This record gives sequence, C-alpha cells and structure tokens, in this order.
Amino acid sequence: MKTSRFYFKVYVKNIVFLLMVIAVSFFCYYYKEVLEMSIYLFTELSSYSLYCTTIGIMIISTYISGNKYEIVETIERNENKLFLSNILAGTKVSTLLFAIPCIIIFSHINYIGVNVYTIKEFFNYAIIWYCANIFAVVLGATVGTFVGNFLRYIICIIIYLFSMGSSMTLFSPTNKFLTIFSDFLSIFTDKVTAPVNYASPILFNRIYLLDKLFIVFNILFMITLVYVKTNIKTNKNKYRYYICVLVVFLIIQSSMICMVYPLLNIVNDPISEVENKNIQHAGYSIKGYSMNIDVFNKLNNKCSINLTKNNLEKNQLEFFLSEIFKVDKVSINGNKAKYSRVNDKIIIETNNIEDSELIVDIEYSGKVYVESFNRAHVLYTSNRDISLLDNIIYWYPTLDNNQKSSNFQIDVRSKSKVYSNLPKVKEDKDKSYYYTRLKGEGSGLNILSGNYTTMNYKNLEIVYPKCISESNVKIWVDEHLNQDFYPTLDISIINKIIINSDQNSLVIDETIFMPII
Amino acid sequence: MKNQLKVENISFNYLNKKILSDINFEYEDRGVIGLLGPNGSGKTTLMRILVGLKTPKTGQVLLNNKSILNNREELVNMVGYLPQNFEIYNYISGLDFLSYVCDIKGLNNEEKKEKIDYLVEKFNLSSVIKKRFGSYSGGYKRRLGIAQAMIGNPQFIIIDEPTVGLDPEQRFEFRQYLAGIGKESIILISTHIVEDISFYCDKIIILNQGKITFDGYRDDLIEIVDGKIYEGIINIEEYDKVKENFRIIEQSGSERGKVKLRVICEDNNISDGFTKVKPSLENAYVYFQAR
Repeated sequence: MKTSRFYFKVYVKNIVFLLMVIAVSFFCYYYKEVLEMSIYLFTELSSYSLYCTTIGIMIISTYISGNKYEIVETIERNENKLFLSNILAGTKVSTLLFAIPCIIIFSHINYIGVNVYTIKEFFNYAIIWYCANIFAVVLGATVGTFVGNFLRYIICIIIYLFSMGSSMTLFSPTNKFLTIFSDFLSIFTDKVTAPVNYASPILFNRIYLLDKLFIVFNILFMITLVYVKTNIKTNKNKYRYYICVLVVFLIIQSSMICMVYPLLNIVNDPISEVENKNIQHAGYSIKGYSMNIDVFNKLNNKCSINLTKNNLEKNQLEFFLSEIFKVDKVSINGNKAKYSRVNDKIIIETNNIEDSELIVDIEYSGKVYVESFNRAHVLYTSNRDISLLDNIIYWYPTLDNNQKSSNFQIDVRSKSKVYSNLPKVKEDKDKSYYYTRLKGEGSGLNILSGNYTTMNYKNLEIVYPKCISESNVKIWVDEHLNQDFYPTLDISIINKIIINSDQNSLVIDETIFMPII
Repeated sequence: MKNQLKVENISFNYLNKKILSDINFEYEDRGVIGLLGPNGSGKTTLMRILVGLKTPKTGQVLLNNKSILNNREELVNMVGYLPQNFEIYNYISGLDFLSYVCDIKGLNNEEKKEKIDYLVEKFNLSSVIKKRFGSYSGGYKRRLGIAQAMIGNPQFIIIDEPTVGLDPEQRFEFRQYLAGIGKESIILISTHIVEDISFYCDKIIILNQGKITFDGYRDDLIEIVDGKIYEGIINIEEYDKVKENFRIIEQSGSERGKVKLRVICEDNNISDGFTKVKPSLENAYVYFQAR
C-alpha cells in the first residue's frame, strides 16, 4: 500500500513521535545494565518505554483517522483502505522505534552467555512490543473512524486503560475467570509487571499463545467493525453485521478464556502460611519415598510411600496432593485401594490392614503451571524448564509441610538437566533424555531445571542461573552467606546453594534457596 | 476525443430538506464553467456530488459517458478537486502531499518527480514546498491545492470557491493560473464572487435555492438583461423613492449630496436622469438572483 508511506510521514513528523523517541531511548538506556543478566528482566524494567510508545502511537493514529479531510476522502475513495494504510504506517513506526531497544540490547547483552533463552527472551520482547503497538494503532484508528471530534482521544485513553489489565490496578479481578480475562485484556501481558523469573523464564506455552491470540482477535474485531462501517451501505444491515461480529467475537474470546481456565493456577499464599488443615495423620508417619518422575510438558509420577503405622485411629490415610493432579491409581501393599479427593487432599481407605509398615503407591499426572499472587511463574514443568518447589503447592503426596525428614530415592526422566536439594547420585543421558537419580535424606524435595549451571566455591555446590556471571555469584555468596542474613542457621552445615528467582530465601536441610535480587 | 460532462436530474435531500432539485447541464470540450450562486444555494453540495463524495437521491453524473458514482476508483485520475476548505495534516510538507496524490493516482517514481517539479515551478511553490503545510499562507494553500488537483492530467477539474480568503494580488494570480488550466481541461468553478467568473468563464450556471436559474454563455446572460439596466446620478433625498420603485443593483458615491445608482427596470418606465447602460456580468447575475 503506497499510501501508507504518506501516513508514515504524518506519524514521524508529528511532535509526539519525537517525544516517543526520547522516552524509549531514555527508559531503554536507563535499564541497559540488566541486559548483562537477562532480556526478560530488561523487558520488565523498561516496560515504561512500551507504555510511552503505545500511548504515542495510539494518539497519532487517532489523530490521523479522526481528521477527515475532504481532499483525502476525494482522492482516496476507499475509507477502509485509508484505515488499513494508517495501521500499516503505525506498524512501520513501531518497527522504527523498535530499533532503539534493539540497538541497546545488542550493544549491551552478554554475548558469552547467549543461548536459546536469550533468543526466546528477545522474541518475547519483540512479540510484546508488536502486539501492544499494533493494538494501540488499531484502537486509535478504529475510534478515530467512528468518532470525529476531540472525544475520540478520551475514548481511546479509557479503552487503553482497560487494555493495560489488572497490572495497572485499574480494576482488581475478584475471581479466576476475571483474572484470566484481565490478563488477556492486557496488551503487555501482566508478566511485564510481575517479578521476573530470569533463571528459566517459562515462555511460549499454551497460555502465552492464547494470550497473544486474544490480542490478535481484539485487533481483528476492531478491523472488522471498521470494515462493516465502511463497506455496508444501509444502516439496518450495518447494525445486523455489528451484532453478528460482536457475538462471534464474544464466543471466540470466551472460548479462549475457558481453554486457559484449567491450565492456570494461582496461589495466593505459600504453603507455610496456609492454615492448619486438620489432617488426620496422628497414627502414621512417612519413612521414605521412592518416585519415578517423568517431567515434560506434563508431570507423571509413580510415587511409592513407605509408611510406618502406629495407632491408626481411622481406617483411612490422608495425604496432601494438589487438586491440579489427576490420580490414576492408588494401591496399598500392591493391592488396589479405594480413595477419594477433597480439594488438596487424597483420602485412601486402608480396609483394616494389620501390617505395621505400608507401601502406598500413588500414580498421578497433570500439567503444572502455577503463578504466585503477584503473577510470577513459580511452579511449572515444560520440556526445557522445571520448577517443582515444595513450598508452593503439594506437588507430591505428603502429610504436611512440616513433616520430619524422610528418605528419598527419586528417578527423574527429563529433557534437560535437573538440579535438586537432594544429592544427585547418578546422571545418564541418551539422545533425548536425562536420567537422574536423587537420593538422600531430607525434609522436602525440590527439583529445578532450566537456564542453570553449577560451580564449586568454598566447598559449596552452587547452582545458579547462567545469566549471572561466576564472579558476581561469588561476590554475592560472600556477602550474603553469614549470620546477618541467616541469624538462626548453622552455616557450617550448608553444602549447597541454589540461586533462583524466587522471592524468598528458603533453607531446606543443608541447602539454601537464595533469591538474587 | 472531446471530454464530456453530463449532469442528469440530480436531486439531493438533507434531513428531509431539499438542497438540490432536478439539476441538469452538459458541457463538452475544454473551458471553464462558472457555477454562481449565493451562499446556501447548494453549490458545495453539487460539487461534492460531482466528485463522488455525496450520493444524490436521484440522477447521475456522467464523465465521458461513465458514471462517476459507479466508477469512483477508475475515475480518480480523470477528476481533480480543490475543496473550499483545503486542509491537510499540518505536520507534513506540500511535497509529501503531492507525492501522496501521485502515489494514489498511480504515477511511477520518474513520472512523480517530473510532475511534481513541473507543478512546483508552474505554481511558484519552490520556496515553501518542503515546509510544513501548517505554516502556509492562504495563497500558498490554494496554489498547492490547485497543483494537487492537476496531478494525473485530469480531464475534469472542480474548484470550490477558488479565491475565498485570498488578498487581491493572490486572487489575480490565482485567476491567471485557472485561465491557463482551462485551456487543457473542463474546469467547473463554484463561486459567489462574480468577478471570478468574469475573468475566465465561457459558460455560466446560476444556482439559486437548489435550482438552476440560468445555464448558458456569458454573453447570453448579459443579453437577457440588456436594455433593462439603467444608470443615473440622483440627489441623496431621492434615494428612498428610487429604492421603493426599482431594484438597485449597484451603488457608488458621486459628488457630495449625490449618489450613482444602477437599477433594474423592465418596462422603460423610469424617471429622468436615468439612462440605459450596457449591463455588466455582475448586473446580470444580480438580476437573476432578484427574479
């Protein structure tokens, strides 16, 4: 479309464009240091540049679309073509502005640490940039097409505020459905304001895809509205088409929300803060676990619990296991057992078994994707990234979070290298999979995988995100591993430090999980 | 091949109010048609119908036997238009706008450069062509407007109120441009300023309250009025009496206590002191308005 060249000039010669250039340059340059670590972190911190470009582009787009010059209408008869030219020009402007963060990114990233995560994070930045900007252009152009006077700017800004989602606290969703809806409405995705998991950013999963598709459908919806306005001649037919488009749009958008509903889990409190759930486990205790875990996009666990029975008051055993998992099979001492689920509990009937030691086998599976109340990715499994922390949800059957030490023998099959608080006794790799055996005594099991690497420093095994330099890790460990930070801890017993992007520090037996920021 | 503009039975209503009714006229070959009429007579609406911006209730406009309404995209190159309020985005330059019009009219880069250079020189725009449109004076805006209307060698150019807002010098200059263009295409000029028409129009259409009251050549218009216009110098005390009996169409000061008048008198029954004069185009126009 040659005419978009003209609109491109209208965009770039507008004073707002200059302001956008200054704002983007400032915010990107101001946060350039974090590029040493992660583009994902840069995406979050420099998000103000994104707000500036979207608002600026939207205002110019509204200005272009709403100014209906007689001469332009005469020489370009097709109003829809004008609308599309405006969008195309806005997209070109967005690309031009994108050069600024690109220059800063490519001149400041740590090229030694570039890997598939760096590329994914860059694509994520580009996708957010384009989705948000194209949405803003289309919004401005659409409102300008329908409303010719100054009111169009106010309407645009109001719709824009809703498009920022709950991250901007315009409205706080009260339930999961509304949370997903507000997430989807957000053109930036709430992840730009959530604490960043730079260690293994879980990107491009199904929720991400649907989130972006939602924005694409919003864009298509607006384009269709303008098409109806400009191409359908009689008012009666127009209103019919508007209603049809709206109905189709609502069906599509609600379907997408419904598709995400079972995939997303949000935990408001860590397990340690959950009230006593009054579990009836006085008569038995866990001696040890044996697990065969397959962790890919889905988690499959064949968990065998060695249980010591003391004085079982009821003919049933109760364990915590998150309701996100589907239990496939339960057996006691090799015999199939009846069980029921109540929220995060699994209740297994023991049928008057007299043995003092029981082997309870529970096979379960499920897709794990859990976000914290502040919308950070905290628990997830994918082909490449794993974060299975036992203080978020009950991802394996347990009596409670304060259980005493148990023996673990865990066999993990995964597509990437895993790290854990438990000692790794074996690690094999064939073409497709890693086979890892974790064995030891501990009060919990935590498994991580992703953009991590290890080093030994002062007799400590340190697991840390690859995006942080070795020297920085050493400095940081020296500064933080002391009694000031851990006043009640005997530091001499610590033999492993896992640095991840969790918000809180956590000590499990001889391992410390440390946040870096 | 001769260019032909044919307007057939055009009627247009706005909110149940008749703006135009039964407009018919036809013109062939090159030249300038003047569309005269007072403010609110429907001139601008007719112009907008002619360029396809408005759809009439009835009737059609044919340009070289092709309906403008049904062939808008095809005819975009054949029609040039300069609206009364020629405005574009303030931030862009005249050059950007001419380039845009060239793109829409399908000129390739070479043709575009050639055409723009030609127009910039012809309309003396070189000093402002790269400046922001918002900084242009009224005269430069009209020049740029007529320059863009000429892109694509249109056979039919429509100009709405060409000299509104221009100072006398700019008016003179602009009229000269239009007279030149009229040798190449059919130009339809809508105006309420008779002076514009008298400068370069061969054919005149007078529109009043949405209806054509005259459609013919300038000399025909004057001829109709010829013999009905009288001029005289009267004492100022007699003014009211003359005004009561005759329609005054022109008035100017004379000696102290006297006034020079031109009046319409259709039956030769006029007082002494008035003599028959050859009517001007303006006299003829006012005569038609008064009918």
